[in-house]
Amino acid sequence: MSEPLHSDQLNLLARALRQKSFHFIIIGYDHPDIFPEISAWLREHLPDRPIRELPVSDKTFQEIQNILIQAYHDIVLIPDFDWFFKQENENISITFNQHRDFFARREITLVCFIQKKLFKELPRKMPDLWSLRSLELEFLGTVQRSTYSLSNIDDMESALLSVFAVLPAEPITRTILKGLLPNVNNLDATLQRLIKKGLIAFDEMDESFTCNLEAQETTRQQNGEQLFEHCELLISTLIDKLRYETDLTGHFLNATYKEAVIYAKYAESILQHIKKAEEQLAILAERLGNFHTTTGNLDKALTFYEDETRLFKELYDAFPSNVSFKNGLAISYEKLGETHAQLGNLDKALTFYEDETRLFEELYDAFPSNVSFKNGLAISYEKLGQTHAELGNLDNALTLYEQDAQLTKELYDAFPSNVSFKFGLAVSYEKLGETHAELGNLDKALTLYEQYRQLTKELYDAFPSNVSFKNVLAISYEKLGQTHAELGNLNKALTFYEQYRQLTKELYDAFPSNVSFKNNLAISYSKLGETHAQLGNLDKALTFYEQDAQLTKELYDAFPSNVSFKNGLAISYYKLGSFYKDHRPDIVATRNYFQQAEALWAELTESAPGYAKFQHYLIQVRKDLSELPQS
Amino acid sequence: MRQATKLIEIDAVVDKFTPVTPDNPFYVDFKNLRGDFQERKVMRILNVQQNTDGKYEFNYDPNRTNKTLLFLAGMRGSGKTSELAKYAQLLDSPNCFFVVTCDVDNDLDMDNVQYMDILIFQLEQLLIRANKENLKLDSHILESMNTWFQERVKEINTSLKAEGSAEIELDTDKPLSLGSLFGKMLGLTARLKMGLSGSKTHADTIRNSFKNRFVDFSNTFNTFIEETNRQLRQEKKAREVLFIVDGLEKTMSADTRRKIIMEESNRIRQIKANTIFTLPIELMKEEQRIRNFSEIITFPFIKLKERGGAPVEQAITHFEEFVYKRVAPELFDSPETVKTAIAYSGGSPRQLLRIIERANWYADEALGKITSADMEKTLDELGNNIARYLEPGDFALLKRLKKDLQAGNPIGFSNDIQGLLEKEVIYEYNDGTYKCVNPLLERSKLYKFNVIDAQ
Repeated sequence: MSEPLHSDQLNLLARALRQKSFHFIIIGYDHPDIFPEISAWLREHLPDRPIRELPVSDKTFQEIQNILIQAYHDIVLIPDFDWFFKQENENISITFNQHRDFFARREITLVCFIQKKLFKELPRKMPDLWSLRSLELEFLGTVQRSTYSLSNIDDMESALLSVFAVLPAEPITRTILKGLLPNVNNLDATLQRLIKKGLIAFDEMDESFTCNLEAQETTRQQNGEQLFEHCELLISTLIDKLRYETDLTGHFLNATYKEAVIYAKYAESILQHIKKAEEQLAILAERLGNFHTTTGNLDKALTFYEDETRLFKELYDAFPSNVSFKNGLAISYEKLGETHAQLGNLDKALTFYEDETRLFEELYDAFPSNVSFKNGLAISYEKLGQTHAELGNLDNALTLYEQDAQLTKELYDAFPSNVSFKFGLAVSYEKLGETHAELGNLDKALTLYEQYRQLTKELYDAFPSNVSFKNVLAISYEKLGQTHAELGNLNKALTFYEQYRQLTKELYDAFPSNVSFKNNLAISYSKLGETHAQLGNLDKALTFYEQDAQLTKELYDAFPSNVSFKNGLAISYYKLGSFYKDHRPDIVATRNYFQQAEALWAELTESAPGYAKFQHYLIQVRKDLSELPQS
Repeated sequence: MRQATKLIEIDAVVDKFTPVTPDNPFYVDFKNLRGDFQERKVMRILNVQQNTDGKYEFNYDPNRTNKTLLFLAGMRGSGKTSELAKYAQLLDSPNCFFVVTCDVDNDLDMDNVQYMDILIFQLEQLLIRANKENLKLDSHILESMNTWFQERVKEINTSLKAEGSAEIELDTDKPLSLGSLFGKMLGLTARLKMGLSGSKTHADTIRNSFKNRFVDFSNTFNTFIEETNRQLRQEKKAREVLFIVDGLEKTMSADTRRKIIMEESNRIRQIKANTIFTLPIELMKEEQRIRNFSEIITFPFIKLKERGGAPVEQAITHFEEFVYKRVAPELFDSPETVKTAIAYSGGSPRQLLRIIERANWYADEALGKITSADMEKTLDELGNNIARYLEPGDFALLKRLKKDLQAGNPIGFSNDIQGLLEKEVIYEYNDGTYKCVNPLLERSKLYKFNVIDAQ
C-alpha cells in the first residue's frame, strides 16, 4: 500500500493506541470514507490490539454499556459518535458522559468519529468525558491516495479540472461556471469528457457539476505549479465580477450583493489553494478585502488586505523596477490604512498612509506625466489629511487637503471629461470644507460645499444610475445642511437634510446590505431630528431621533468593532438624552440615555485613543450627567 | 504505580483520571498553593484540628448538634477528587470520622436524579460500610428503620400496581439477627436504587412517596445517623459519620443540578449528617444563597503566577516534583522542557498530564527523550485544538477579558464566563475572581488573530 495521506496523524494515532489504557480520542472528519479507511489502517498497523467497531445509532445506553463491559483493554471505534449530539438523544448523551469513570476504570480506548461541523458540540454535551480527552485529530478528505492519475487526460481537461480543484467542493451550476469562464472553447465538450472519466459528477436536476474531494486533492498535487496558469481566466473574471466603486461605499459594479457573496467564497477558496506571488492574486485579495468592508466585516477585510500587501511586497522586492507592483503595493497600504482607521487604530492608519504617500511620491516624481500616479498621490494626501483631522491636527489636515485639491484640479483641468478626476476634485472640496468648518470658517466652508455640490450634481445628472455619484450628492446636501444649521439658517438646513434623507433612503432601500448607506440614512434622521428640535417641532424631532437610534443600534450590534457605528450609536443616545433634558420633564430617560452614551464613549476613548473627538464627547456627556438633578 | 524510566512507560503514568491519595507514590501535596484555598479552612469548617501527633481529631463535644454541610466547587481537572480522597484518608480514624464515600456518577443512574436518590444512596453506602466494619448497631433502631422503609415500599407498590408497573420486592421473613437486618436494609435500599434507575414513572413514584413524608424520612435518617455515631464512639471506631459525595457536577443538565441544590435546599437542611458535596462550578454564582444553608469553598487551580506576573516558585517546584515522580528526569532533554510544560499547564494537573502525554507521542523513540522541539510542537497543537471549540462570540468576550486582565480588574461570574470555564478556555484561581486565559490557547493562531492582533 502506498504512503497514505495524513500519515503524520495516523502515526500519532498509532502511537497513542499502542498502550492498553483508557483514552478518549476524537477524530473529526468531512468525508464518509474516513472511518473504514482508518479502521483498516489500524488493523494493519496494530495487529496485536483487538479492535471493535461500535456504531451507537439507535442503541440504548444499556446496550452500549453491555458491549463496552466486554471491551476491557480493547480499542473501540465509534463511527457515529455525533449521533449522541442530536436533541432527541440528550438523555443517552448525558448518561454516557456520566459514566466516564466507568469507562476509564475498564481501560477502554474510545476512538470517536465526529463530523467536523459538530466538533463544538462535544464540550457542551459531554464535558466530563471531554475533559479526559487524549487526542484530537482532523482528517479532511480521505486517507487513501488516489488510485487514478491525471495522465490519461488532455491539456484542456487538466486545465478545467484545475479550476474545479481550486473552487469549493460543492455543486457549481452550469450558468455560474460559464459566467466564470467566458469564451472558453469547447467548454461543454470538455465537461462531458470529464464526466465520462468519472472525474466530475453532473446533476441533471439543477444542472450542476461537482468535483469530489479526492479528485480535487489529486489535481492540486499533480498540477501543482500549473494551477495558477490554468486558473488565470477564472481569477481575472472574479476580479472583474468583484469590481467596486472606489468611493467609500464599496458598492459592487458588476454583481448583485447575492452574487458577490458567491464570488467572494470562490475567491477565498482560490487564495487558499494557490499560494504564489502573482499580481492577479494580490488584486483578488484586494477585491475580497473590499467585499468584506462593504458588507461590514472589517476584521476579515483586514486579513485580505494584509494578504494583498504581502503579495505585492513580495513581487516588488523581487522586481523593484516594476511600477505596477509598486503601484499595487501603494494601494494596498491605503486599504490597510482605511481599515485600521475604521477599526479605530489611527496610529496604524497614519503609518500606512505615510507609506502609501512615499511610494506615490516616488512614482509621480519618476513619471510626472502618469495621471494614475498623480491621482494616487492626490488620494494619499487626502487620506493623510483625513487622519490628521481625526487626530485633531487640523492645520496639518488643511495643508494636505490643499495639496490634494491642487493635484486633482490639475488633473480635472487637463481631463475635464474624466469623471474620476471630477469626482476626486469634488471630494477634495468636501474635505477642505470640513476642515474649514472645524476651524470655524463657516463662510469658507459653505463656499467649498457649494462647489462640492455643484460637481456632484453634474456627475449624478450625467450618470443617474451611478450609485457612488448619488451617494456623494447626498453627502453634499448633508454638509450644506450642517453648515446652514450652524449659521442659524434652520429652514435652509431642513431643506438640505430632507434632500439628504431622500437620496440615502433610496440608496439603502436598493442596497440594504451596504452598511455605508444604512449609516448615512441614520445620520440623515439624526440631522432632521436636530433641526426639527431647534425649530420647535418636538414630536417630529423625537421620531427622527428614535429612527436614528434604531438604525445605529442595528449597525453596532452587527459590527461592534466598527468605531464609526459605535460612535454613531453614542451620538444617537446623546441626542435623545439632550432632547429629553431640554424638552421633556423626564430625568430618568435623560440619565439613561446619557449613561448609555457615556459607556460607549468611554469604551471608544480606550480602544481608539487616537480619535480626539471621542474624548471630547466623553467629557461633555459627563458634564451633562453631573448637572442633572439627583433623583 | 512506578516511575516511568523509558518513553514507552510514560503512557501508564500520565493517567488523567485516577485520583491520587497521600499513600500513592505519585502524590504531591499542593497545600497552600491554591491561592485563597487552604486545607485548614476545610478542616476548620469540619470542626477538626490536628493533635500533637499531626493526626486529625474531630471535636465532638462542642459540636454535638452541629453538622457540617460543605460544598467544594472547582473546575474539572483541578484535583477535587484527589483532594477528597485525601480527606477520606486523613479523616477516617477513631478520633475523627467514619468516612463514607459516595461516587454518585458511578453508582447512581443519573438520569433525572434528585436529592432523594442521593440520600438513599448515602444510606446504602453507610450500611455497606457499617456492615463491613461489623458495627454493632442497635437492632431496634435498625428494625424500626426497616419497618418504616417496608411500609414506604408497600405504599409505592400500591401506586406502581395501579399504574401497571412492576413492584419492588419485599422480604417477608422476619429478620433474626443484626447481620440479616443489615442485609434486609441493604437489599431494600439497593432495590429502591434500582427502582430509581428505572422508568421515570417508577422513579417519580418512589421519590414522591419519600418526599411526601420527608419530615418522617429525615427524622428516621437522622435518628439512624445519631445511633450510628453513638455506636461508632462506643466501639472507638470514629466519632461521627462524614459523607463525601463526589460527582454531583456530572448530573444531568445544569438545570437539574440547580434544582438539587437550590430548590431542595430545605430538604438538604433537614438532614443532620456531616457531608461534603462537590459543587457544579456554575452554581458559584449562587454563592450567597447557598451560604444560607451551608458552607462553600472554591477549589481553584494551583497558581503559577501572581496577578502581576511574578512566578510562584513553590508551585513550580511542586509541579516539577509532580512530573518527576511520574517520569524520570533523564527522559527529558533538559529541565527547561519540563518547566515549559508546567508553565503551559496553567496550574491544572490534568492539563500538565495531557501535555506530557502528547509530547511523549511526538518524541523520537530512538533518541529516548522528550525534547524541547517535541514540547513546542505539542503546545502549538494543543493550543490550536482548544481554539477549535470557540465560537466567534467567545473571541469577543476574550478580547474584553484581556483588557480587564491587563487592568487587573476582578472578573466575576456570568453565563458567558461560565461557558469559557466549561470549555477550559479560562482558568480561575484564588477565590475565583482571578482568572487567566488558558496559556495553551494563547499560543493558537486563532487566538492571536482574533484577540491579540485585533486589539
